[in-house]
Amino acid sequence: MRSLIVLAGVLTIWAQPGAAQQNSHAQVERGRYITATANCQSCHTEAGGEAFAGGRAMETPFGTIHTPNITFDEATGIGRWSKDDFHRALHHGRSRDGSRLYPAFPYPHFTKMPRADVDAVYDYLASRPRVSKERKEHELPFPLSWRRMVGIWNMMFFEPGEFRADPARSPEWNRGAYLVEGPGHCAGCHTEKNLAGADNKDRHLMGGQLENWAAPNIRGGRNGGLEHWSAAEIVAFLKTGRNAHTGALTRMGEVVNVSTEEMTEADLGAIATYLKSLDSEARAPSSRPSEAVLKAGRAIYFDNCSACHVSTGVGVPHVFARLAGSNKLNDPDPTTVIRIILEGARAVPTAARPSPLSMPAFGWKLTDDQIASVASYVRASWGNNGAPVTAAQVEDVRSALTARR
Amino acid sequence: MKKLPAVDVVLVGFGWTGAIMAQELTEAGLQVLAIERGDWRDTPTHFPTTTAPDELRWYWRKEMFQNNSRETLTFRNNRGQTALPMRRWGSFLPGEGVGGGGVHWNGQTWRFLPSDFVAASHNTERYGSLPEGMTVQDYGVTYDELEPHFDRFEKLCGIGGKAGNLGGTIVAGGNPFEGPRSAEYPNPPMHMTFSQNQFARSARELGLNPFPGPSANMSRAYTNPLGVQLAPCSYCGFCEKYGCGNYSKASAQTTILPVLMRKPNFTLKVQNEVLSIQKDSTGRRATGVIHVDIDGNEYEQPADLVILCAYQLSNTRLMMLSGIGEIYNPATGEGLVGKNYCYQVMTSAQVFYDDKYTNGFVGAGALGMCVDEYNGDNFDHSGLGFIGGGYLANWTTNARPIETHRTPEGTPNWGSAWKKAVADNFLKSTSVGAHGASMAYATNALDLDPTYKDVYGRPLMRMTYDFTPNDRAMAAFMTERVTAIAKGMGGREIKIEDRSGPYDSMPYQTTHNTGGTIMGTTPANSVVNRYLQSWDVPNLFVMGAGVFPQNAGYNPTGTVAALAYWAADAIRTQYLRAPGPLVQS
Amino acid sequence: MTIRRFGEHTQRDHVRQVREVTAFFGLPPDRAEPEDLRRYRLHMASLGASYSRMNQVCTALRLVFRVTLSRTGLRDRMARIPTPDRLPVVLDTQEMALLLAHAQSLKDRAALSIAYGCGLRVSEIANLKVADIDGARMLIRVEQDIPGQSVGLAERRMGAFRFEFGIANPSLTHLPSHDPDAGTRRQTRNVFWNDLRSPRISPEMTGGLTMDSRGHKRRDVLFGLLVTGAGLGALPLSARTISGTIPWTAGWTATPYRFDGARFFTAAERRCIEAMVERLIPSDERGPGARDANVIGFIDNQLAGFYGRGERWYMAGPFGEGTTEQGYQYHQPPAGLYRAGIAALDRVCAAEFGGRSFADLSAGQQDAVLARLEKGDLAFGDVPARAFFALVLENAIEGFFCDPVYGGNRDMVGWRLVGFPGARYDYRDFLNHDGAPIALEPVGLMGGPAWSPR
Repeated sequence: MRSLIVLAGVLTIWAQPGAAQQNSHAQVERGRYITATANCQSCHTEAGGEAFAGGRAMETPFGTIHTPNITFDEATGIGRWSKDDFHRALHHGRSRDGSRLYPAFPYPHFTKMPRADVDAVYDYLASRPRVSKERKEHELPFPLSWRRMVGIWNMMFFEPGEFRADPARSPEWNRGAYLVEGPGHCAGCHTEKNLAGADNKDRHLMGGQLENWAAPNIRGGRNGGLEHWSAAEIVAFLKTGRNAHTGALTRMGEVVNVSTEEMTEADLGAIATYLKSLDSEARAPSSRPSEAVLKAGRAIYFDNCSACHVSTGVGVPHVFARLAGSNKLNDPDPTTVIRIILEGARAVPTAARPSPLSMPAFGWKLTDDQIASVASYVRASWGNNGAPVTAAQVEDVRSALTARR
Repeated sequence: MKKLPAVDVVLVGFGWTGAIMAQELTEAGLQVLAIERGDWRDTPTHFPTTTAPDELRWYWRKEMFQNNSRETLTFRNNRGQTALPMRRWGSFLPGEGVGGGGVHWNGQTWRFLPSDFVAASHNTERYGSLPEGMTVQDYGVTYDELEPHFDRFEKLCGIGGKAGNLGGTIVAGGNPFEGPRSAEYPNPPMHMTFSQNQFARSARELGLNPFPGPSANMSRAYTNPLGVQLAPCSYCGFCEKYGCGNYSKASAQTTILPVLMRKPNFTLKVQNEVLSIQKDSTGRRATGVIHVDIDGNEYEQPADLVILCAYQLSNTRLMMLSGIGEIYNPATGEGLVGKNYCYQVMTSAQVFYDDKYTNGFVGAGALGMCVDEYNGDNFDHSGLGFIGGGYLANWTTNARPIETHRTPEGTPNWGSAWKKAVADNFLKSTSVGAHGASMAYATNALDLDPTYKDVYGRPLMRMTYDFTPNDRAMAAFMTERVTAIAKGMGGREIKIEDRSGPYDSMPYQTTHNTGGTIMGTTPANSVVNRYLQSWDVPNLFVMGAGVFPQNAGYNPTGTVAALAYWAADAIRTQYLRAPGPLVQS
Repeated sequence: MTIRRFGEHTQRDHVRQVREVTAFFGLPPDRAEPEDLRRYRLHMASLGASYSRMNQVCTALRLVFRVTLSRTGLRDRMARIPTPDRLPVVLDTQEMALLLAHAQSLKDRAALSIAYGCGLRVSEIANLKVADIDGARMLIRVEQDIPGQSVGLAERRMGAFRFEFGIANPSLTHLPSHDPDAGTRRQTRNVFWNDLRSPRISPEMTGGLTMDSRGHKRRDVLFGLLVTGAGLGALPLSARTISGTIPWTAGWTATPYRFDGARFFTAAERRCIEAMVERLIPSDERGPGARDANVIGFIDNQLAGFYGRGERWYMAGPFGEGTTEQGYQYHQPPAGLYRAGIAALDRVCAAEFGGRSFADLSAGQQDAVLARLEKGDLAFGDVPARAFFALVLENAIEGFFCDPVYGGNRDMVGWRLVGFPGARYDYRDFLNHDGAPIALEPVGLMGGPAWSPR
């Protein structure tokens, strides 16, 4: 045992100063960029905590996972990891000791990254300050707490292997596909999960739910959630957190701040090209709310919402979200709409758009019935096609949010 | 008392001038700390659309303003009286909390006239020596010097208006009397309503040149040069005395803070009140400030540069409490701190219609048409017995019923007749107002009260103020002009609200208190020099309307902000290179 | 349920609920039909089950249907029944104000105030001495656990001290008849129990809630608070340093204080002011007046709160008479002026009208008295008659035109009278009105009839 520790120490000495000396500035910068494309910082940083030091509690349907420290602190971080260890984690979902990592860590996506890119991420992380921070134990029920279960999961849902370009498509499309399906791991939020928590491949990027948010359909082709967004508008959204339609809010706001805001216009353009190529299913017209609900909803909207979203639902481009045609409003899952009305929402401030324009909370002001009415109204107006919202649905979200506080 | 690590700059107060200074000096690479006695406030949480339209809470229960229970000032009309505390705010409403009074202002954003900055020399030259007791003086800075800084502030805020003088060329539709502008306003004017149209028509019939009032309420969505965004005004009628719930009124929050708060070299402390400015043994250098947090902990905050950015009354009082400069004594004429306290002289005429609805609730803080023929020295004052003037305007700011329920002449104050008059006229009335200048007199001044103390046991400010002979003559003249326009607006009747009797500290007039730390050309006539730098303590600068030697016939914010930019520019380009007096005395 | 961190009691209750329901259905819950659920809830209601009991059942069944059985359709049939209000995790300031308003003595109120405002423990309050209160610094020294420790005292609390002890001068703040006996601790605790059981807290005041469903829980929260000293101390005090970001908290708004039913007036005082405001804003052929707008309820409530106590006014002495231009100078805050003014008014009326109080006079007589009062032409002794009249008139107009959340302007009758559309925030659609009327129903901060589906 002792010799193992000594060996580990030797390896660490070999790995760290070596890495620091050998890594050119260019290599670290390359790593910084790739790290941004993979959005590592978002999950591996606690609110108000040091970057990459972990500790964030990720709520999953199966329990709470606490993200690990991925700074190069030896005792609490990954300071003793070699490049091979690191690559094995991203490519095969195995920790340094060989144990299986939970797929909340998106190795099913990172496996698509080429070795050189993974090494660059390693070099970048190695260049950063080391933070000593212990990880909290996951709060997972048995048998999920038994990591060997993950092996079974992997057999069923995990396909290791680097991204392979489609020669029939343009290099730009392939770059976009790589970023979206690989490091960007968009499906992590925007794809519905099956009972085992794996992506439902038939519903790829057609919307998912996590932590009491509904992540919308982001397919940009026919019938897709972003069908009405131009490629340039997708780029603007990812780069500035804002476009003529809407702004990035809490979760997507983080992604913009630590990831897409850092990316080049060319890469964002590639993402837009790829997303615009993805068609979606046509949706049947939703049922209409009753006239009484529409009437109340219209009154509530006019008295509370029009000051920003305008009485005709057109919003103010780049300032207040347009509700007519809104992707969030038309989502079959009304969770996000209800939540935003209940507790407000803030457009993420970015370097290009520093104003954190925010919608105020209405949870103290409107009853569940009233929120259901106004949500039903906006989902059924101005050409929108969202099913009516019930007071019980509002109550559910309200309870879930209250429980979190 | 805990001694804190030194910073480059400490700002006392965090409203408009604090935010401007912080933005400018952090850009210069300095470590800046702002200390604000009120709390953090922001649009979506503290005055969102969901709570903003609430007359009782914000205005009548004064939640938007400085808390009188901790500190107020004492007031008397003249030195023969005993000053008594203003137990609640009345005639003016100082702000408290982040953004200061800039959260609850109307947004009427003017530039003073070129002649206003040289009021003493200009009027003396044209009309001979000033009357006995009048202590008007020149600012020491000219309109031309301030022009780029006016322009910066207008672009920061997205002011909507129509230029009347572009680089010396008079432009139709704007104010032909304004100083030459380097650029058009960044946004078009507000959308005028029925009352403004009546005013404009009447004014034109009188041969006057009506123009849209310059507005910090957004006439359209706007992104300022810092990249900060403002939204279009929705004409909700809850502007002045209220925070704006939908980002459509320029304030520190909506123009600067989104950029400033991100900077690593800026820090804001709230619920901390500065008790005094500390000086070294020579008394010629400020070493920092003493401040106390709401929990009662005292701190010593060293700084290389101290800048007072609080309200005019607070800046003046802090100078007095810190023993910087000599307090003005009207009996002897000695001393300068507290001298030349001025205000604003308002008169108006109300117009009542029979069958026309003015619908005053469709309003905004700076929704108005104005004329400027009777402002400053835009007209010949020979034989009139006063100098200065004011703009005349029809603003439709609100129809908030507790505050604004006009009744015709002869209506009782209560009972069925009052109720009927209110009901009949509430939606069918408007008013024309004059926004008159206030010239400094030796008798009007600020000093420390000998009796009353604030919550920390420090003396309250004492205000000795009454309207002056100049004010009364000017008010009578302005009332006639206002009446003439009001009569031409097609109403059934008008009611004149003139300015007779002594100044009353209770009915709301304006929060345009000026003077006390006046600027000027020599240490013998002023507290600060033309760069707003203390003559006595060169690493101390004083912002705000306290530096106005006298007040002009306009709302002061535009000029206050231009002076702040001007001072910041002097600090950046001159003071930092060679710290010391920027003007040799 | 263990995974979800349900407590032992909750788990037991849930299991019991499901067992009961199963027995009622006569078949396992996975075979239950919507009609069965409806029948069971009717059964519960017929037994007179309380809101909370009904909802306990709902919660248990929803868990079974949603999680255990994945029958979300059935879950939706078990929507919780709306209760008039939900239990806050901690008492907010309005609720605390309600509680404070019903403390039976000044001392009790002061003790409660400190517990809430400063987060002191019962034992700390019980051991508080006069000298511990530093009115100038707004501090209370707490020597019990940590020598030299002090807590901040919000100005509101300080104001309460001043007023409730009849002391306007802050330098004279002291607790009357402090008795550091062992009973004080129990007494402080009992204040809460007594107030919560007080018949003066009527359903009207708690928004229609009965004591069973609300008071019980509230008491527990309070009791926990007092025993642990947890939590509330930091509420009114928030000195802080902000750097690097613009603070924002999802779901948080600085909401308005609200009408909470607390009263200041005695019955006789209330009659007097009710009569007075009805003459100032009469109900007449032009429509509803002060009575219909509940102006008296508004004023009574305002005087019982921070306004009546002058907590945002400068109320330090000395007090002089002053000129008109110097404004309010009475040595008591608004509630004190009302009390003194009403007494003087009724005294004058009794002398002039054969022992009758103001409220007993005819409308014509009342108008005549008020006209003299307005001019200061009544023998009011030390009480400033004109200031009293001016304050009542000001408050009457406030109560007639304020937002209905404050208890006045009931059914928005004041706004309807004049045509004010209320708490709206967008009139862009009407900018071109050009002198024509705009037809808009008034709406309050908390809405209006149009916000409910009909």
